[in-house]
Amino acid sequence: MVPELSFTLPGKLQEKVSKSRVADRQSATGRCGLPRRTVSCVLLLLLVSATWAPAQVQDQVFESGTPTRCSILSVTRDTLRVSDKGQQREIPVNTIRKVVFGNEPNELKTARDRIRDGRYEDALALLKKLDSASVKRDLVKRDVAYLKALVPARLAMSTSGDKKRAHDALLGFIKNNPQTHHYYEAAQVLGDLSMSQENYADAARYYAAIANAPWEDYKMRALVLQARAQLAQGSFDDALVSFEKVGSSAGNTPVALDQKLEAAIGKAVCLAEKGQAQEGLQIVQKVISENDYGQKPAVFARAYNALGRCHLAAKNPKEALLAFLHVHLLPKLRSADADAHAESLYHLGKLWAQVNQPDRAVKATSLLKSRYAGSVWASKKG
Amino acid sequence: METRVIRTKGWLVVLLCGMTLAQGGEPARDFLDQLVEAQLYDVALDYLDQLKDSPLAPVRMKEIIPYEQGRILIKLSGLQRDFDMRERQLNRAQKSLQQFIETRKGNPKVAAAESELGTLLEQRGTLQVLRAERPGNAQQKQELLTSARQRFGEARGVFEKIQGQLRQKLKNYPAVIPTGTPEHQLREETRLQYLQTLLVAAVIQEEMADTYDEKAPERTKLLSEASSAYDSVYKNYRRFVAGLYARLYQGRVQKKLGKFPDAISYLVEILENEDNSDAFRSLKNKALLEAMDCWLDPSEQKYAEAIRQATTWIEASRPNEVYLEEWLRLRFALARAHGSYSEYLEKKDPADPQIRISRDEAKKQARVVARFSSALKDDAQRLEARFGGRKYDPNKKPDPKTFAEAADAAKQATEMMRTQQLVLQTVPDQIEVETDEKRKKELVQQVENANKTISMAREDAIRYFNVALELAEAGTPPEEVNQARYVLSYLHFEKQDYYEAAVLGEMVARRFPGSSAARHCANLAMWSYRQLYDLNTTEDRDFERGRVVGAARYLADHWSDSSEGQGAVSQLIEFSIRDGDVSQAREYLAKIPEDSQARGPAELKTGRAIWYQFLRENQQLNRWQREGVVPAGIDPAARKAELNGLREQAQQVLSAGIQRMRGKGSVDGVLATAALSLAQVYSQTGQSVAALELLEDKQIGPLTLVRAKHAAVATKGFAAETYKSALSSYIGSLGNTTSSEGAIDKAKQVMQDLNATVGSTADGQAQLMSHYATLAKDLKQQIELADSVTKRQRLTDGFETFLQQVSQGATDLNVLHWVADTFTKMGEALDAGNTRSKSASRYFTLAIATYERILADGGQKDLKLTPGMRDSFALQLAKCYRRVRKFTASMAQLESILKERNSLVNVQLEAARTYQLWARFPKKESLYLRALAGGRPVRGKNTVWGFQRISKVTYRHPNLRDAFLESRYRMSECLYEWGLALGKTNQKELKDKRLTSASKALLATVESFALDETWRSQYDGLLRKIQRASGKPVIGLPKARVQTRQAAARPRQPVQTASQ
Repeated sequence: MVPELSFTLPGKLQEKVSKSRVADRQSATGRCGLPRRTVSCVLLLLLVSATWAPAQVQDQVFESGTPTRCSILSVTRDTLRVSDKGQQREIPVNTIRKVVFGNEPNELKTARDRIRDGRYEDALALLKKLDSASVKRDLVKRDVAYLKALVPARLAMSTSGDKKRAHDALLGFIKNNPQTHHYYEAAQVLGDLSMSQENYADAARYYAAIANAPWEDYKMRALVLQARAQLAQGSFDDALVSFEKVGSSAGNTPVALDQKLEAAIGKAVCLAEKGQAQEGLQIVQKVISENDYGQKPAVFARAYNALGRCHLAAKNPKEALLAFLHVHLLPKLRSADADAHAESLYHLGKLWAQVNQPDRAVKATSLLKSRYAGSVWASKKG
Repeated sequence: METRVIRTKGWLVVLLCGMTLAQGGEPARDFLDQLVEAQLYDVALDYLDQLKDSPLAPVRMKEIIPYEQGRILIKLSGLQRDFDMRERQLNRAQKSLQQFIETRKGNPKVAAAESELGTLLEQRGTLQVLRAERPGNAQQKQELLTSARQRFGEARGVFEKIQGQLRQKLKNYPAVIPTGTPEHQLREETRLQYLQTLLVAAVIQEEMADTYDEKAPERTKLLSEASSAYDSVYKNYRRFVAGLYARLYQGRVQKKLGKFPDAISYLVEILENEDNSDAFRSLKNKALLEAMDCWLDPSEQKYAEAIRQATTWIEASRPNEVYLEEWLRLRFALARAHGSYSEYLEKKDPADPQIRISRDEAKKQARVVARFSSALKDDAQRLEARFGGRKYDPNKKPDPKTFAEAADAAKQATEMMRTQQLVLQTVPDQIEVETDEKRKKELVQQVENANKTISMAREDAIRYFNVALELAEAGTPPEEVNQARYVLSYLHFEKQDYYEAAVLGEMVARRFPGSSAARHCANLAMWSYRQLYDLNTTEDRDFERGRVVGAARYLADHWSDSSEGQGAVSQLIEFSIRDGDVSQAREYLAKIPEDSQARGPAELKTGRAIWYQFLRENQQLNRWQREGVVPAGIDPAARKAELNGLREQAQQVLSAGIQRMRGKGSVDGVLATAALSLAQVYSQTGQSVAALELLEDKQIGPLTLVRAKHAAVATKGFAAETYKSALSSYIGSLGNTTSSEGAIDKAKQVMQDLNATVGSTADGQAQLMSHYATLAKDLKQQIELADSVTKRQRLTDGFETFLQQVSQGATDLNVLHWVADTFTKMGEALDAGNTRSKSASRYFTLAIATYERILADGGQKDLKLTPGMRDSFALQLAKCYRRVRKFTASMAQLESILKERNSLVNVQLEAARTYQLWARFPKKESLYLRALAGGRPVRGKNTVWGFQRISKVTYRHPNLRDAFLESRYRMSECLYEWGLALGKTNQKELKDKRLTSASKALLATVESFALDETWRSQYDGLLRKIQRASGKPVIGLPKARVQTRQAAARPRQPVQTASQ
């Protein structure tokens, strides 16, 4: 059965959710349900000691530049409603890099950083160590629950793990928390999980959920991801149409332009697969020559893989080898996108054997199977 | 094999590269650096080639492509094991760098290119040092080391020059430059380059010192200078990592000078630095390795300190560092420290409990090192074995349930085999020197146990690998399965189950050619089939032959550029030669690259094969011409020209092989044999001067090597062959006015050497006789091959002078026999067939005199002739009499032999031949009847059988096939000649009768017996003569038929033959 992302939660659960939102708001504003007298005493004490103690625990929202110190009042999949210096305002999710909750356990903070660095085992160990009972605030509880679902999914797609169980856990989290600010990220991870199981139809539907976001660049990203699913499925014509649609869209924000680059790269692969390797090569070479690999390592990683595939289609194994080697050898490219690295290793394993370097072929294949055992490339036949 | 200078420059380059600014487009600089760091130098060179035309390549990068090519080629050469290949890569690098310097004069990289040229010179120096270290180069060692010092000196000069330029450049910069500006970056780059030249110059000084003997004063002086240079760098740049490296090297130099306390103080200074960043970890690791050597030196014996420091450092290692070479070296040093500590404590107090602890630790650490594939693996296994190794319990058998478990169990058993094999390599030496009887018994027991364990472990390994293969599933990585098959194949090979080894190996090689095990498996298969071929002593070896050739072709086609592929081509060459297909062998030879190590030996093999083919075919042509039976369709002159071409080819191929192998600087058995073969070619083709030049060559001359008792010529029989060739060449040179000076004395000396080498035992004497016999043939060959009458005359004059001198007063039977035999051969070489040659008669007469002397003195003490030897000499004498047409004397000698031993087939043949030759003289035609039916009856039985009876006696004996075919041929020939003689006396009817009989007898033989090519052509020639004489159409023999029943008949009893 195809999973559904337009959730309608059962009544009781909805009630729970709304209660938890109220509780969050209360805890954030200091209304913790104590008797009025006690509250007054506490306020007095706070006023007396205002010079040395913080007025209240502050959350931090990281966008570009200095993080916003504020109180998060409520959360939806599209925005965070915050109280910032006495003013309430909404921060769109697409601008947020990271959210750190006031008074959250250190393990949670560190685990988040570990995930960002791709050190999923460490993150999982920290999350296991975390004492859930000590977390009182619902928003934090939900964040812990999300990360506990996210990390096994990421692990399953890289080194090891049960993909189905990870998928179900993450989907379960989203079903229970449809208004989380992690919604679109979760949708993409679910799509990626489906892709890694070669379940392209499901992947396309998960990615389609991202298109429901109110931002143009998210819609473009959704289309790029869907097109990649089509490409992986071998539907080159459909993928080409999707990529071209992204390329011709009106968005011109930096993020939108990045999506256009991704679309150009995807288009090049489609053309190569359709027997138009030279056209594909021209497109990728343009992407490479007009961009800075230090600034856009993930784009470059995919661009070099595309270049490799174009050369493969043009029957230039040596040139293809050099292209894939860029992704494998350049540290910035290698660490920017695990899937791209896995793909490069897959092709290198085959190409080294083709140019009569079996030892190097074995090395590349062994690395692919040990480091990216959960990747679709590790189990790819042929 | 990267040199110290390359390593020293390596991390400085990393620092420099880190300073380059990121740019848009193709990250060519970063990618190239990563290719170099991953040691993918071949790919890096491909990448540079691609950049030349790539639209993505940055312009700045395109400009420096030749520089980068030179830099990378230098690195690539450092990985080469083949010294010639390495030299060629350095030449290419030099060309690229020089091209860059000349064409890009203003480029900032020019200084770096000059510096690389310095590195290149240093590499050339290192190459000479490596050549000098080869055991085969003992004689040229000093020469090579002097050349190395020269290269190092030149390299140092280059760096000192660059140093001066950079110093000036640094002075020209303003004192204050804002950080982050391009000018600041340039100054920092220049400063690092300057620092690099300072350090590299000192490193070269140290390398130069290492070319001297340990106690040489020059070494001490150079090391002290290097130490001062390092000290200066350290003092001026201690805040740079490079400064600390200078300190490390200073410690290393102090260690080399034997100043261990000073060395330790410098090294500990580095170890105590609190910085533990990656750059420092590597530095500290190196420092600790040097310090371990100092602590463990017998003069220091600071084992406990070594153990403490190394243990602390290793415990702090990261999981991914365990298998890195540097860390393995450190762990191995720790194992050594524990081992030495246990021995040290044992001498002080055998009851100290620390002894057991340290021994166990030594084993444990050595085992970890041995687990990984590195240069230390063998040493670590040896160390583990020395401290007892692991106990192998054959009863403790795991019961694997998966492929991985079974493969693991098999690997453990294999590891155990390897460890115990090392026990067998080390313990026997210990047994020899051990004086304590109790300990000796223990060691002997250890060897016995090792043998048993190896056998049990091998069986277990085979069993578990078989189980693993049965348990392999669809999901089991094919590479692991193939690796298991490969090791299993190898184990079968070791166990001498060659068929199993071959089948398994071939299956992996053919079905999984992309597997890393495929090449090794193909090689195993080829050698297993080769073993089967060698072990098969029957005549039917077609299966094995086919398999060896098939496997070799596959290996050569798929991995032509590997050493295995080239080894396979050598096999193909060998089998082509065995099949007599020299042209095929030459085609295979062309497939081996000029710079391959296999090329030289293959050239030798092919060259010799061509030479032998030439000898065979030349002999055949001479025989045809002598006997007047040149087969139809063969033009002797054209054939002679073809053969001359073949001879030149042999000389060319052998000469190229020698030249190639001489360039390697070392002399081994292959090169020495090649030199001997070429000397033989020269000597036997009348080029005695060239032969002697090669034989006496100071570096590779076989005669020089034999006299110096060089290890390369220790092979049995080599010395005797060399002396024979030398003797032949010295005698051959007698005909040459310019080179004959002292040749007789030298030849006599060589004869003495030959006698001394072969020995005075009965076997030795027999060998000596055989050597002299072949020598006589060689001389005959020289005369036959002489291309002018003058040359022939000079040669025979020279030979005669020498032989006369040697035979005067000689009492040695071998020498006298050789003299007689050589005179005979000289006569044969000059014999013009039917027309009488004066020179030939002269030499036959000299031979007769010598044989008569031997037979007359036969009873004397020195000669001691056995009856067999007497018969043999009498036979030779009879042949010589016949040559000078003294038929009565000849027949008398033959009859005397046959009266004693009537069934000597070869003597019977000679007697019949003598009658035939005698019958050719006027009015002697009645003797044809004797030749055919025999004569000289004793008590009613003919002593001489004649050809008819010879053919009857020999036809059932396959080992006497030639005697049979000859006797049948001669029967027809006698009848034909008799017929012609009768024709001359107008007895036409009788003539026709004889000719008809001749034809019938000949055709009956041809129809009933399979003839080889040689006999067939002779029979055909004779039939044509008969047909011509009978006035019939000259059509020769009908087409060849398949073998008949009679021809395939099995032998009954061997027939006695006379000893030669």
